[in-house]
Amino acid sequence: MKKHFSALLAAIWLAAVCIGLGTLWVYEYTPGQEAVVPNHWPVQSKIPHTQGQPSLIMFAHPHCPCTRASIGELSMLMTHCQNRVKARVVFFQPKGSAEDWTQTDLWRSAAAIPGVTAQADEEGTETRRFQVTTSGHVVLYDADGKLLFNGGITSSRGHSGDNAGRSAITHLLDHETADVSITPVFGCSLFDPKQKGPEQDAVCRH
Amino acid sequence: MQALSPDLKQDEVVTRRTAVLFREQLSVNHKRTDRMFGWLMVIQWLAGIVAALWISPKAWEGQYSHTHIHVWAAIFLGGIISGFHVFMAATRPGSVLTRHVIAVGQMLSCGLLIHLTGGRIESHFQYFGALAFLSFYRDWRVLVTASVVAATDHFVRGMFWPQSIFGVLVASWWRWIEHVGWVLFEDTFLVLAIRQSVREMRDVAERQAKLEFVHGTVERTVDERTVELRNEIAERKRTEEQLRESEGKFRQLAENINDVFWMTSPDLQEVLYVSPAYERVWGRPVAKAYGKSHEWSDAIIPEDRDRVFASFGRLMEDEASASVEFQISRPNGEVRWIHSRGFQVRDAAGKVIRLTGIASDTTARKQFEAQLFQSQKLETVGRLSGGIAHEFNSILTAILGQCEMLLADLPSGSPSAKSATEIRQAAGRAATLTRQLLAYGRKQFLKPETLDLNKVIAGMEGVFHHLMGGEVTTQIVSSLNLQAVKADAGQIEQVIMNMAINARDAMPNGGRLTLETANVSIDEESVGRYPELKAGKYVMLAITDTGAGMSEQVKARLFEPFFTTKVVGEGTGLGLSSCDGIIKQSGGHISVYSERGRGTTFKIYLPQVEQQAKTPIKSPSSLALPRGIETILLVEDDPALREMAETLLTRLGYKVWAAPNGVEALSLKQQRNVGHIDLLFTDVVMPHMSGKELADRVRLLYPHTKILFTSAYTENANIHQGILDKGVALLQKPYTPSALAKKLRELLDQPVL
Repeated sequence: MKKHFSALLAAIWLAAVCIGLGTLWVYEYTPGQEAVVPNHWPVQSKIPHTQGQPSLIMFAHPHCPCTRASIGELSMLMTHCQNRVKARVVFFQPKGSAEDWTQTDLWRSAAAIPGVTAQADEEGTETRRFQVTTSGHVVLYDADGKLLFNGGITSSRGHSGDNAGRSAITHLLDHETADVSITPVFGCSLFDPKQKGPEQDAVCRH
Repeated sequence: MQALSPDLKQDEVVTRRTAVLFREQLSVNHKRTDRMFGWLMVIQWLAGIVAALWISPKAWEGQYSHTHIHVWAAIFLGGIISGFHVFMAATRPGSVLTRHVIAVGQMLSCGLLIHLTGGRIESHFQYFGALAFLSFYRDWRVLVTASVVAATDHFVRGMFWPQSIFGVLVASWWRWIEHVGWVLFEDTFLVLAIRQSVREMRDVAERQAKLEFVHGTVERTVDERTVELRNEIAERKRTEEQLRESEGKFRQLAENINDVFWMTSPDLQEVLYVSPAYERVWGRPVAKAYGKSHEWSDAIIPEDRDRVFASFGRLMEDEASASVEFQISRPNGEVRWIHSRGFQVRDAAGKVIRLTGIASDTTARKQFEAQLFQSQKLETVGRLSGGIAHEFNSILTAILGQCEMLLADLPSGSPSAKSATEIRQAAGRAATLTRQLLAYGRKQFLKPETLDLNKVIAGMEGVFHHLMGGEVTTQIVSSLNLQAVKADAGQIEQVIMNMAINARDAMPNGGRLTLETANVSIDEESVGRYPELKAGKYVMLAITDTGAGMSEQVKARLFEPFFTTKVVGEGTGLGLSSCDGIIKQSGGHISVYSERGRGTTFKIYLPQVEQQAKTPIKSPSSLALPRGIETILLVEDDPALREMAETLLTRLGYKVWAAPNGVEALSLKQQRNVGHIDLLFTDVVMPHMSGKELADRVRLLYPHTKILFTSAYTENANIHQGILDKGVALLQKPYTPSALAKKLRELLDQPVL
């Protein structure tokens, strides 16, 4: 009786754990809002496009913990593709926020990666120009400003490790081709969903 | 069932015990590991929460944030995973299910932590750490469970959701095997380590079992020996108790008897033990008798010392026991008789290890024996004296009778009358001497009557003053209400007179004579001091002088006949002995107390009687002999006495028929036609026919004939020996003519019944 009770408890426990893990997994593997990224480098953008080299921009929320994995993947990417791409991490800075709101460990991590430039995006102006809504979203334009890749470089929310996005960018930089050019983005939302900008007519879709 | 040999039994016991110990140790290890994982899970849970709060505290949407789901997952999901483990570890430690649940939980916890840490490659090492921790259970099955969970996770997710585990949308089908392979790689070493550890645990258990077996064997041996020792101790205590009891009994015996227990070395040179009676008998402290002091032997009088050592010398050599009697001298000069018996005490080998014995004080017995000897001697002397006196009585009766008749015939003042008077006086002194001898031999003819000693003494007061002279004062202390006694008044007067004369002689330079009477009671305890007396009431007459006293030696022989301290010619040595005989014949006792230089006291004890005392009346003596005309048959075997009596009676006017014995007396009566016989005067002891037998026959023939016996023996002696009947008339020899004449007249004048 006691044994059966223990087994029943174990089963209930296992079920509860499975439900909990399932919920966690669902959360972690649920990508951010789909975004429609311009196929060419937006002319309004104040972000300078590197001449003669592909340009890579990661849009990040300076406080998003999930983006830490994306920064880590970027670091690995830049290690592999050093001097072959100019990278820039654009940190969203809401309107009215303090000047150092963007100065987080993510900023310092990103700024520390060789070949990566960190910059703040006041009120998300540039982010809106590239139609990006989720932190960790990476866009890769070739030397001519043509969109080569669009998506996240983590396999799940805040989970580092091998992933399709990093593999695709590496492959594009190495061989100018890739099996995939669009991947889901796992991260925090860059904007308050209730306050959509005028350029947000279209969002990322996966 | 066949009995196991000791070795087989030991092996089986050790094997069984090893298995038990091994299981116990495993169980202990499982429980300990369960508890360890219980704490570890709590730590992991807290660590997960900290990691979540640290790494991903919030999720953001623009400038807005909310708690990150990782925090809730760390708290709740981590809590569910860890809580159940803690619950199982706390409630069912050591159970198989608990450790398998923990194995599953560890894997899940690792997965959760990997998620919480952002999937960092470093965090994957938790799996390996968890497996290593799980190997603490030393149960490879736990590793299998954990590994199966990990493998299943990789397989399922690799097959159906490769992106979630490998980060790619499409992964090779075998890639999960690669991951699981690393797990199995570690499992291999862990299983080997577990096997080694289990083997060591089994070895430890076996050593423990062997140690316990040996320990148990030693314990049993110790227990058995302890029981034996306890029994030995109990037995020893019982023996000691019995010994103490025995010693106590011996001590009680030794310390309470009058004899002296002694124990010496085999050579008699060292006293090992002497009982407390030693002090009482030897008159010396017990402590000084111990050791090699020869105080006990130094006390032996020199005359006996060699004999004592010779006797005990034989005891030291070959005689098992020895007995010797000797005298010791006490420090106060007193000499005591000792009878000592000694015995050998030998050890198991037969060697004499000590001598022991008992020394008894036999002084009292010796004194009693001496008194008995003296008494027997005096008894013999008394019997001899009585016999001689009896014979003398007859002779003296004849001499006195003839003298008186001769004096009656001779003219007064003639030389022959003077000679006859001298003969009569000498015969009178001889008769006195004979009476004293008879008195000493207690064969005197007594006429007991009830007396008041106060009156007897008062009647003699004038005599005392006459006897004592001017140098000696006489004091009479008469007790009031003095009880009467029964005694011969004349003999009592004679006793008092003898003692008074002795007292006077003891006070040549003057002094005081005290006569004191008293009623006394002698109880049972006091009887021992007066062997001749029975317990009862007595009248005591004490005659005390303040003279020179007497020595012990004189006192010891005081009542011996013919013993005197006076110069030859002044005393016969029969005074006190006859006094003693008279008093004893009267049922009394004389005791003497004397101190040299202070005086002597004689105490006469006579039994009290209830009758009223008579006042002694002196019968007036008549110088003229009474006469008669009656016919008297005289029978006397002594020719001289018969002649004297026949002559006397004839002179007094009687008609006398004389015969030497009874037979002739009867034939004389028949042959000569004697006629009526008024009185038969016959001796009691005669040849052929006794006086009593003759009297009986005469009484048959002549019932009115009166009978007068005569005998040298007292009335009591004749009655006691069955010779005469009580109440008969008896004239004791020696008798004087006047006594015979008065007695005859007294009888003849009595009316015929």
